Amino acid sequence: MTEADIVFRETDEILVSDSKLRGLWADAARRLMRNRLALIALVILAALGVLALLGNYVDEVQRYAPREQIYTDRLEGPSLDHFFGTDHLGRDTWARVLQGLLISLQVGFGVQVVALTVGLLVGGIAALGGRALDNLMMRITDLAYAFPDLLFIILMREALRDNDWPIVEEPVVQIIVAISFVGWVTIARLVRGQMLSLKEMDFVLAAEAMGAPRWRIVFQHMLPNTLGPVIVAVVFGIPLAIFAEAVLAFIGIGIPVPTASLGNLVDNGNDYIQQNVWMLLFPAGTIALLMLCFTFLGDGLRDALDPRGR
Amino acid sequence: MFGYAIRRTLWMIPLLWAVATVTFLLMHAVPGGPFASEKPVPPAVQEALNARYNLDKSFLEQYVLYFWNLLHFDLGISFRADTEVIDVLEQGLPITLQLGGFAFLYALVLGMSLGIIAALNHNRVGDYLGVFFATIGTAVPNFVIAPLLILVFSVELGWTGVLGWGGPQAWVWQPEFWNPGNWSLRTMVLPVVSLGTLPAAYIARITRASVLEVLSQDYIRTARAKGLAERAVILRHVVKNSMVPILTVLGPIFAALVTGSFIVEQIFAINGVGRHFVQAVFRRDYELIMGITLFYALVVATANLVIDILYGVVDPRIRYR
Repeated sequence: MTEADIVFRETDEILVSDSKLRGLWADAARRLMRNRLALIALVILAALGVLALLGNYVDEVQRYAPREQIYTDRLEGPSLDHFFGTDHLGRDTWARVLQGLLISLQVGFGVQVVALTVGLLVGGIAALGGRALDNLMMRITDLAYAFPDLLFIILMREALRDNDWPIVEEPVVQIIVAISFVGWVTIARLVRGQMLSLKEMDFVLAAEAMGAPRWRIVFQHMLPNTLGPVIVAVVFGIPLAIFAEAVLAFIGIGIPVPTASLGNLVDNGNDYIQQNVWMLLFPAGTIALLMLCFTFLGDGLRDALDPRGR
Repeated sequence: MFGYAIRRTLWMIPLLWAVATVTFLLMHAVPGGPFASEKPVPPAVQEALNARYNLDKSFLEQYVLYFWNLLHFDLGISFRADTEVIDVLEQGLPITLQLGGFAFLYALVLGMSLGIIAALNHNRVGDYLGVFFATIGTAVPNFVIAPLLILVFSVELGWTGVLGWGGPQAWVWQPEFWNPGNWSLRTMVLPVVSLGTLPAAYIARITRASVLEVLSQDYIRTARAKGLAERAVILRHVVKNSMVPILTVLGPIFAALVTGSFIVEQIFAINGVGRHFVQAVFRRDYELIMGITLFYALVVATANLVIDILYGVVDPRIRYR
């Protein structure tokens, strides 16, 4: 659901007279900064990112090792000692949530890097490579679009899990590949559509008339103009990837335990819901916060990058 | 338009074939066969098992055989209980479709009403309430919402059941479906709400944006200027004209609800197709995986097709080629 629509519209003022002086990107950045919700989301996400890094590599922030089991402190609620309480094995939930947060962010960004690469390639080839290639690429895209997403992610993950294929040995990498398998379609379609309409634009014609080489037209004139909607799709894609990872973890084929991921923490919390509800609330709240922030940021970016779409 | 519908329907055949082929390849790339993890059996038994399920044949032979059988509407046998795949589908499908269908209705009704109410009260209390719901709803996935709902409504308040699905195991055309005694609301509410809330929030967002857009159009001002009752303006002009962007997402949403119900099925222990699929993947139950994937791909393709045809009904300017 990458094309979620605009709910939060601050009173948008575009200062048309000013914008002549600035470039496209500076202008967009300015508009983004004006959008309070998007700005807050960006700040929170940055804070979460820093926290995830510190929480995995700095002992003072992490406080307990995510695997350390303290049998005397099982199923505790939040306290000054254990910020988020402890789980059924006496592991510190704060440390585990931070570990899961880092993995979720890695998966979210990793999937989008792969999806962006494949999507730009497929979409670009389809738009610029002539009719036959366009047909071929679009048929492949149709096919990927017809896959029931989550089911294919599950199958793909299973195929990658027990095989000793090179490169994809790390569980995180396997999960990223599995999710990207269906995740690139939206971007490919966007890029193709944008490029096709850009090809007919006057400024491309002008560049051609002035004798610019083809690569220069593509990279200098067309690519930057396709990026706006693509960036928005990428930002909306991150929470989807995080969600998919959590689903995998939830049915037991995500990151292998005892490594924590937000999905398997929610799963555990679900099992111990009657004994210690905090085990569920903190990881669930973290997922909700992540998804919320990426949605707001995506909304803000769309408003900022596409001034026509109002 | 008729020709278009037929062409699109025929196009589904190669599409399904391609989906099935990719699934077949992926499935056989998963290491370990269906009987690999069990305790060692005598070689003769193993051979008999392999022969029974065609596992002794080469990969290519299995592939050709599968599609040959498929052409004869034979989906094969599920290894686990030695039941026909078609029987497993027959058992699970009504439940999954009921769950997905009700969740879809819930999402549609709630999402559209919230979106319309929010847009008509632009920048007032109703708007903020609608936007608040739409925001929270998009942030909580179903595996987060379901345990919380269970905790509050089943465990604390005791209002609802925790396990199972309250609908009858029957298709719409069977009389059992229409007997109210076969339905138990108590064990239906939580799964439906868990599954449908995220799409409801999503639909609400889109509806709100779309209605706001339509409200600013000149023809709405004209309708009001000619003295049309506000109710008629809203129902006949605003709602109808704001349908197109909503329709665009309904196909994917319906498909996602039917194919994505396995988490909810897992949490509420509902014996639907989704749960069978997850178990089938773990058991390497090849033909069951194929059968369910094909069915799901059919749902996705049909949903997209229906929506594409509905475009023309809602917006007569759209022409089919």
